[in-house]
Amino acid sequence: MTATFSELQKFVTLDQLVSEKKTPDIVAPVFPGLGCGFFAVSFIAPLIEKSAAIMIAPAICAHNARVFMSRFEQSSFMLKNNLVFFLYEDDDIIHGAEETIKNAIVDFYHKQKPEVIFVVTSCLPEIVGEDIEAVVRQVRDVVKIPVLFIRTENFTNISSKQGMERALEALIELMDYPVQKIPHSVNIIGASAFRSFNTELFTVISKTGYSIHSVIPSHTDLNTLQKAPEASCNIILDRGALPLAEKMKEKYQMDYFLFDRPFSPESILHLYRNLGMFLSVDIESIITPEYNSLLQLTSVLKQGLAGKKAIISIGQGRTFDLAFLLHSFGIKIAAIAIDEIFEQDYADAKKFHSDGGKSDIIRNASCYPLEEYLVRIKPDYYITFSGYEENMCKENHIGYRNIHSIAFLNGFDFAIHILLEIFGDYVQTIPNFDISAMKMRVNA
Amino acid sequence: MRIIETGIPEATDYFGILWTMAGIRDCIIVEHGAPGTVTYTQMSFNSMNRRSMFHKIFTCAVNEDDVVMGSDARLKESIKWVDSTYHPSVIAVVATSITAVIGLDIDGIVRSLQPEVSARLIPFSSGGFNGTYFLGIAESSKAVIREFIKPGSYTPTKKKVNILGPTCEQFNTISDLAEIRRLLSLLGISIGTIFPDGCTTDEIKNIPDASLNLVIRDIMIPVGEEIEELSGQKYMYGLPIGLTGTKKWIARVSELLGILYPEEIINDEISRFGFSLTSLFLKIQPYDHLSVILACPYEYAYGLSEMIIKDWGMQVSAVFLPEEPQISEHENYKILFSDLGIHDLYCNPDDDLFESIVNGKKPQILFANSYYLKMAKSVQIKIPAAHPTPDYITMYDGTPFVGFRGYAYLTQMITNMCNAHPEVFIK
Repeated sequence: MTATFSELQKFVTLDQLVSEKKTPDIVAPVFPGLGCGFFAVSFIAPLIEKSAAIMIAPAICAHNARVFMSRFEQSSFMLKNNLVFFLYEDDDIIHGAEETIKNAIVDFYHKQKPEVIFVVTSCLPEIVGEDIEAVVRQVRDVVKIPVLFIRTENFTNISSKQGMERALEALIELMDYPVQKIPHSVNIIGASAFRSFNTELFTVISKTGYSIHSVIPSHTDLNTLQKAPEASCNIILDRGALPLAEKMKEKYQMDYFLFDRPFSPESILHLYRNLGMFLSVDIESIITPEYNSLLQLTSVLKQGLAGKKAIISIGQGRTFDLAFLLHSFGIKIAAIAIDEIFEQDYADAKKFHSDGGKSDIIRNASCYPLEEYLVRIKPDYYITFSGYEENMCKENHIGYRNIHSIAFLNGFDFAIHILLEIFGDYVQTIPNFDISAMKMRVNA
Repeated sequence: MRIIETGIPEATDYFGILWTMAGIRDCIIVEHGAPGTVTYTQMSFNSMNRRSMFHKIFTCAVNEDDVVMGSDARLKESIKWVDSTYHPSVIAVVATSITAVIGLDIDGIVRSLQPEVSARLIPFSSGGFNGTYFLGIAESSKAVIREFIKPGSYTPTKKKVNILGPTCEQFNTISDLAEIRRLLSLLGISIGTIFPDGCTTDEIKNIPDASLNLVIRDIMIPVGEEIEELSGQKYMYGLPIGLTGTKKWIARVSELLGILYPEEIINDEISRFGFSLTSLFLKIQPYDHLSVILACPYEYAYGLSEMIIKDWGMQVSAVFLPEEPQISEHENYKILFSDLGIHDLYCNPDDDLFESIVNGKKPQILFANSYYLKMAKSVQIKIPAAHPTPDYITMYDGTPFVGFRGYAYLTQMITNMCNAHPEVFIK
């Protein structure tokens, strides 16, 4: 079964994106899609210790979520399963299940005694019209712990971002008004904050004299969350945490800084400079060695990659800034697959475009006959965040580069690791360039 | 409403349909549902030997308008797009829970759309509410068989069989099929079609060309019956497990195909693979008191029970079956187990019952899926033996549970695992 390129689903050119702000449509059918909120919550809730997430869903979603969680239990994430499934079945659809759900939550509380309960609904109870929010209000009167309600109806939003936003936003209900403010302290917030203690940003902040007050949602429990507003400000690692940051700003007057993930040395330096201004500290002197490391690496990469072709399909970080960086090595960026596009992306796209970049822009979520497209373009590098395309790339002798394992990094470290992941084969051929020393230095 | 705290919510017929249809090489699935379902169904599919649904499944990604208005436009558009883009022989049109609730008539849509597309459209409208994945496998398999095998009389090829049963989630299929193929080749028997995992629709059409269908799991018995009704082709149900079980299985195959029972070959096989536990354990390693609990589908549960009791000389203290076996009405599975001395038999138990039985019986050995193995904290020797096992890979074809080599593999494994847990030898 071979698809024809003429069937390639709707894409726009970089020209159209920059000049008209035109973005490619999401068209049916879709594969693999961008996930859904239900699963985002099933990843976030287990990060909060001594919590339980009651997932009200049909067996299809419940089964998938449990398998999904099992994969994370086996991974370096070492998540502890805290998901409890209330299987929403045909009888519940016909007769309604509000009373049953209420009693079951209360029973569960008495049996397991968690510190916090998340009650999460999927598409089906939302379509049926169960008023679970009201159930949660009633439960709160009975149990003596916080019970948070998170709605995740996938048919109103095709990505997992909705679930991340709502799960994180709900955490504000656990936070107390601060008795005291701790000067020079920050919260680091975002789903990708996992393992933040080992990342560059954490090290840099610590060197500025600021302390890390909390890392949310990972490394937290009820007590940590209650005290989160004691920090001076918030640093946000991904856009899914912005609604929480906005609410904390409104409620506790906490300013926040979005530390997103650019790739080019100048963009990262600019980001750190802005962070320095936000915190009123000198960061530039702290990050100069990391900046120089990235410059050293990029200068090496500029020597021998001209004429290569790449397709970028990462959905993580500032994609157009990566395109700009790779283009500066002389690599032709044939296509860029995007999830969502933000103002910063338009600015990055404009910079890439001004530098002579020409690319097709396609949607990550959309279905397009990728194999046909890859065979036609024959990129040297297919840079992705997912594993779906690995076999296809191998069969077509295309350099498959999956950057999933380093997605939790940040700053120069993130860019260096990604470049080594993509171009490690090439860098190894450069005399006197010690990859392992660079990785070790960055990791240190 | 059922509540699942520690185990895994059972896979519904929706999954059975997907796992069956995804195995047919020239079939593509178009799902009517929210887009996240496919994202995570792909992830759960990937947990089974890292298989991919890439270019095998698409969702029409219903949105709020589709839900409110019950629109079928995106579904039709998606089916046409898949048909014209990939030219599959079959498109399985699968409903999800959402479809079932908003009341979209998948069957009617497929009927009206069929003249406009080249692929055969097969609708599955249950939305995951009809039963377990076993039912989904059986029903979708029957639907495909009805679509591609025409009623009539056929002239089958002698000493050629089909294998009916394997789907992607079935535990250890790769190794088990390799051993079944080896056993059949010892008898000079070739395999026509292995249905459904990995076959094409052309191979399905060729099913009646073989002399016999070997049904290797109980849920495929209705498929064997369906084929018999359409083409007159006989089927034989069973898996060769253990020395005793494998010899019986070979005798039955030989009889049905009119082949002389290969006594010399069997003796040679037993001399190569029939290790006895007596010869592997020391005298100071008594094992006849060891108690085993099995939580597997019927074929494995019965076959392994027979092997454990008759070939190993251990005890089986309880058996858990994921659902009531679908074996012939002439064979009462409870009596079959009872004849082996097994009276503690549970179908589709909830997690609490499983835990309480395991805690009460205190077995040293448990054959089960990953979730049960995790729940049974006190059991010393845990052997993955059933779906789901997302933490366990069975891609290599040299670790069978069936046939003579399967017996040898399991016997070697149990010996090594007991040696690693010497406390099990204490009576």
